[in-house]
Amino acid sequence: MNRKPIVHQFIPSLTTRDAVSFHTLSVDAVLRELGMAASIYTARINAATKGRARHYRHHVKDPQPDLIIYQTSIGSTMVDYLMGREEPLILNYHNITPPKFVYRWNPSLGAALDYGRRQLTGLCRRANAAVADSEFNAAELEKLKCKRVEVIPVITDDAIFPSEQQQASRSEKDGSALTVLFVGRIAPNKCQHDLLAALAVLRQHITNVELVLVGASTSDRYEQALRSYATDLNIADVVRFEGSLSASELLARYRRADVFVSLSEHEGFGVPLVEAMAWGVPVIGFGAAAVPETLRGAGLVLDDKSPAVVAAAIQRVATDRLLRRHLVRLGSARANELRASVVRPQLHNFFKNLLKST
Amino acid sequence: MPDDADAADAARSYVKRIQAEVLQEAQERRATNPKLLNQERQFDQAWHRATQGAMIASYDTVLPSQEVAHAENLLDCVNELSLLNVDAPEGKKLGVRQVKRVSRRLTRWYLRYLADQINAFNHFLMNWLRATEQRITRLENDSRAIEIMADFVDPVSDAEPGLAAAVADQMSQCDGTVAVMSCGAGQIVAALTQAGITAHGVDESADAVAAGMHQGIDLRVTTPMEHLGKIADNSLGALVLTGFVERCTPVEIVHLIDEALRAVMVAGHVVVATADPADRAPHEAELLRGAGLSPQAWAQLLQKRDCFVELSAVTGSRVTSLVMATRQ
Repeated sequence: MNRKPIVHQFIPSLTTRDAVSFHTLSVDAVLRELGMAASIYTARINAATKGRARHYRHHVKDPQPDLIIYQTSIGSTMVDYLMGREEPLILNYHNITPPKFVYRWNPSLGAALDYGRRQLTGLCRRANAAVADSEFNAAELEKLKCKRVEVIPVITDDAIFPSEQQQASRSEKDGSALTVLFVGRIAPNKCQHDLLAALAVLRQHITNVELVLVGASTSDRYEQALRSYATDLNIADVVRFEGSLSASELLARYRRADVFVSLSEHEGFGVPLVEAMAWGVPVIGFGAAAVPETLRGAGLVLDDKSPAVVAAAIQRVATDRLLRRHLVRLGSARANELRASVVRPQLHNFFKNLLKST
Repeated sequence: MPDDADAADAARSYVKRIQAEVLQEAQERRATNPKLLNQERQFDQAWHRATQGAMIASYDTVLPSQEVAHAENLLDCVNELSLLNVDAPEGKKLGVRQVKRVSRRLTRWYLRYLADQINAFNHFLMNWLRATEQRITRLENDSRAIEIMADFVDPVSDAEPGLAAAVADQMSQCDGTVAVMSCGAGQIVAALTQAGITAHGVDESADAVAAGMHQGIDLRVTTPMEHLGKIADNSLGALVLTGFVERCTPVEIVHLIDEALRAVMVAGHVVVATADPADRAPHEAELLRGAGLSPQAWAQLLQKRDCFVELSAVTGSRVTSLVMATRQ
């Protein structure tokens, strides 16, 4: 009798909130649908995900897998363990933030990212195949001589897509303050400071405006500098640092937003861009890293993010109804292309073909 | 659905057109409102102020060893992984488990003997790594001694009118752009501009340059080395080094000379306006021990790099001699 193929996924840290963890749990479900015996191993177990994963120190005692998948987004000691294994290894690459963005703000995180980048070189040589979230990520892997790289977007949570009733409630927004939204970790590579400068210029043209920054901080130093910068620019009263929010609170922010602006200089994919498009929020993005690829023409992409340019773009989106309508329509179509129901079959086929070949 | 596709294409081209229009609109706003350009510059300065103290001076120097908590974490991981365990898993199936248990007993005495030796070796290796880590941290702290002590001495104030006039006088025949490092409020840059020379200044202190910027002098807030690193080869008419050079170590000065001669064109000048360390007040002499060189020593270094060097006297300034090196 044929036994079920065994596939083990490894992820440095499994939580319930971040995109990579959600993707890992979704891949686990896809593998089970394919009739595989799938398990997740991690170096850090979160109370909320206990029971969904085992600590990787137990892996050596568990039945030998036919395939190992490593979810790559930071450095981890588990890579040394994986490099010593002989089973076929698949990388699922979500990009590792270049440490240069982080070192001067959070040296410890910078060192962990640097560690991850150095490990990536070895992993690429060792891996039998790889899945990258974007062409941008794929290009990085190919540069490191990784074999058989396939681009399959990260699986997003379909629950973030609004129902028809929720869509209707969005359009009912009254003429209160213009709400500019950004969702993402408070991190130097996300460049929230550029958003503050743009807001200071925008406020000279539109007085009733607010900036909502959603996301946990990865660097206290950077967050402190942002707060002091906002005070210096005299906009502290219209900038709201919301921190990490629950799913329902996050959806409420999307519902209230008039425009989503990302001036990030490094994104391997950009899940919040997809969420904003799904909620019918017009998106303005700085054309760096994988941002243009994720938007694929469905957002206003800027090559210059000086405050005057960004302010002019936000003002244009706020006042040009035809532009808003186009951005909402294109965004909604693009978000539908990236729905879990579309991406999951791609992963399904990838693993099915892989299993055949191995 | 060709209609839908056409509508999407039309929408995309509209968005693209707006992208171009937004850029144009921003440029027009800057042209019609000169305050906007100045404001954008002020935002840069405000961000620089907000980051001072929040950021670590240079990420190049932040090795894991300096981030003690992280280094300890790594060492703990190494420690954990270096432990060799000879107790192989027995398995769960009843028959297999018994066979494995017997084979483990048979081989254990020999494997244990080897594992004990390797574990002992790893243990000493770990201790050596921790000791090395501590020594490197101490060395890194020691190497920053000059930088730390120099913080207790007031920074060099802006060039006196006598020095600014002397530099402008020396530069009267200069072709090309002149960059002034550690420009302060911009006395030297102003004197050069007044003499019809294209010049800009660089200083790492946003407060120091604020007054000069307000007067419309071309001053920029960045560190001299960072600015110099961005200058293309053979592109400057002259480079004026003041202020910060009095706190540089000899090794930094040698590196600075290399960079300066790279940036300056042939027949261009490197001008050094530095006070003689021998003229320092007693407390400054102690706190800045090992930092800065005399004008004569600068002249010697630049001569050894095949420059034609002249020393000229300056009056009305704490800088008594001006070093002017011409790149051959």
